[in-house]
Amino acid sequence: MNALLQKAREGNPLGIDMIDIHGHIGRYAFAIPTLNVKSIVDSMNKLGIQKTICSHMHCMGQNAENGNEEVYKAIQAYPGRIEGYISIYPFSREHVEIVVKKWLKAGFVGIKLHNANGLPYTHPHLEPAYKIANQRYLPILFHTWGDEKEFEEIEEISSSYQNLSILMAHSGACKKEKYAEFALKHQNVYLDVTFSSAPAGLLEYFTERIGAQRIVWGSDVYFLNQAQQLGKVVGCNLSQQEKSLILYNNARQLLDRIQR
Amino acid sequence: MIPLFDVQNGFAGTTKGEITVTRRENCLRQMDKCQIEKSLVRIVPDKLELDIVYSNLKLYENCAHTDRLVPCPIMVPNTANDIGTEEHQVEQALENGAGAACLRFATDHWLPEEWVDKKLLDLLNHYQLPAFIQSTNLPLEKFAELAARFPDLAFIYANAGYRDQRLFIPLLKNFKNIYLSLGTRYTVHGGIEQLVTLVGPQQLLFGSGLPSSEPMSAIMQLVYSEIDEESKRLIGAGNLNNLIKRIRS
Ligand SMILES: [Zn+2]
Repeated sequence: MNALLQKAREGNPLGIDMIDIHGHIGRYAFAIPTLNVKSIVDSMNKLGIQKTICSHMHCMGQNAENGNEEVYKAIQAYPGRIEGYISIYPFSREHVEIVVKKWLKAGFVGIKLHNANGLPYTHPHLEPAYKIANQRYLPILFHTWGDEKEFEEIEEISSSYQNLSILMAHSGACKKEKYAEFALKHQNVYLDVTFSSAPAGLLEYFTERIGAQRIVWGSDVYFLNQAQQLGKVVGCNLSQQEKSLILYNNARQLLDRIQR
Repeated sequence: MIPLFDVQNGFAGTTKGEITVTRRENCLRQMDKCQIEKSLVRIVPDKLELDIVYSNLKLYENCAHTDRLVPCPIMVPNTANDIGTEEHQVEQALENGAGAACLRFATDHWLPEEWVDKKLLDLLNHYQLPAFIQSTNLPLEKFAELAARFPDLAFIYANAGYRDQRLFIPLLKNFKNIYLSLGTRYTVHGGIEQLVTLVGPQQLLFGSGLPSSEPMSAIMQLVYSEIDEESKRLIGAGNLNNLIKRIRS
């Protein structure tokens, strides 16, 4: 058993750098037992995770601004440990521009978009968000679930705004081949392997197809358990160096390239 | 280190579009990799395991030469005389050291109703052979109704989802004979901790979801959870060992 696996099996801190690029705070329709930010930080401390980049559950609907305020409080409470994605509900172009500028100024590091609202990612009201994000080299985390339309929309955005770091949430939850092809075609696309299950061989597959440099790790905490989500990387059959790229280095680079 | 007895493991099956068949050796290798001592095993994936008699023989054969693999054969009511009597199914299972009976209601076209299942379930109850049921094969409300009919028999619910915490707490509180596999997909933040606090650790079982899941996920969820060491040991292996000790031969 290698050293990392041994530490994980025993429940000890892993002793490697890690950034969780996909977290949430806030209540949801199904019951989540622990709705306090401290519980995320406790989990990070136990595992040895440096940062979790969070959006609010309200990223899915019209309460996005309330969500941003809650995320801001979390950032203030745990500076350097909790970072924020801006949630946007595209009421109007003006609204979107104001929201993005306001929260970037407050220190948020990227944008989270969700299509549970039934609106396309190419909705014209979102244009100011993409423009600003492109100028600042921001990461945008898109909720995806292998839908053809999602790929088409994100393809359009990726081609128009080439400075963005595009994170495809839940890559490989289904249609892993399509995700790999998409990433091969778009060099600014990163595959985020957040998913409740831990499909055996998925990380090995993505690494073989696109290389470990464009795979990032996220947990989907509060939905999901950070330790459980880490297990899929810790246990997979990749080198320690590849695991470090996925768990830390790639995310670190995404954050470092942001122009404030 | 917490000993592990995996309730949700298997091999030798395949699924649509999949050529690779996980061999028993792979299963044992994965168990070695993660230091899982024993596993309750089925033929999985089981979507294409449609001849139950053959499938069970394959399972018994694969489990024969090691006590690390405890078979969980599929059982069905013999109401249409196509499959061997319920007595035979149970006797064969016990002879082969089975740790539970896998009931696949939807897949095998039967219902958990007294007019269908009485003979089989009475036998399982008599021998205290736990019933293993996947969430995909029986909706939770039907599962609870079944468990209520046989309060002395253990019912294991596998492939539980992370969205059902609101149901799992009253389910486990109200039905002390229900056991939840914390295998792949049960992964809500703070979930294990809340179950242990509100219900206790006795009805929770560790499950890896092998071979389709990376086992370290379920393992890390358990070993890093904020519960006491004794609870981790019960969930890791103790509870399943206790269920298997209760089986009458
Ligand atoms: Zn998410």
